[in-house]
Amino acid sequence: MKLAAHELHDLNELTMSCVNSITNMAYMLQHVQDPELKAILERHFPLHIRDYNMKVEFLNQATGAHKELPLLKENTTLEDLTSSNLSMYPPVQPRTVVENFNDREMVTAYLLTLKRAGREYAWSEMEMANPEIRSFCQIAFMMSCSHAYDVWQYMAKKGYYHWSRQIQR
Amino acid sequence: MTLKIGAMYQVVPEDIPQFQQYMSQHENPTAGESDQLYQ
Repeated sequence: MKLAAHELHDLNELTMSCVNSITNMAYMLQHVQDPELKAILERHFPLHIRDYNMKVEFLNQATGAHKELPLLKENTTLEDLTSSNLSMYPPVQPRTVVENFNDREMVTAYLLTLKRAGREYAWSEMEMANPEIRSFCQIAFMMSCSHAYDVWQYMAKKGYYHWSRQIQR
Repeated sequence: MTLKIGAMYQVVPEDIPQFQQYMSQHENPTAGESDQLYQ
């Protein structure tokens, strides 16, 4: 596919980011302890592979990507979206000597990756001239949003993520 | 330049049994197909 210089630059950055995300997820799948978190990762993982493969096709195929990503919707699992029902959050402190990550560290890394990737897709989408790549970035942004919402809700339920209490009226 | 960068990245096979198992065990909530955009 014929790409403008800035499209090639952005695709390269996004593809390298995908290599990093997929490798990290593969590690997490082998190390997470909580079955609920493992199920989230297993559900997301094949779509990250598809997302990566589409970028490789855009870079390598003259006719662009032939695979598709589904349009994901936000799936709400928390009962109360305005405040936590936990009386306190489990404390956290950055570890300075690490042999293996724990679940909280892995899920935090994954959420931050999804949020960063989503912003980068949105930013890149606005700059793309090719309509197919614009569309791809738009759908990948929606996937990042949906996956980040899954992970945020998991973290909120566990008390790993603070969010504001409802304002009393 | 595109070919040089593209050649650096290798496709991941999607027909690996582990992926098929993940897909069959867990369903991602979908709002539609992506080809519905830009019609």
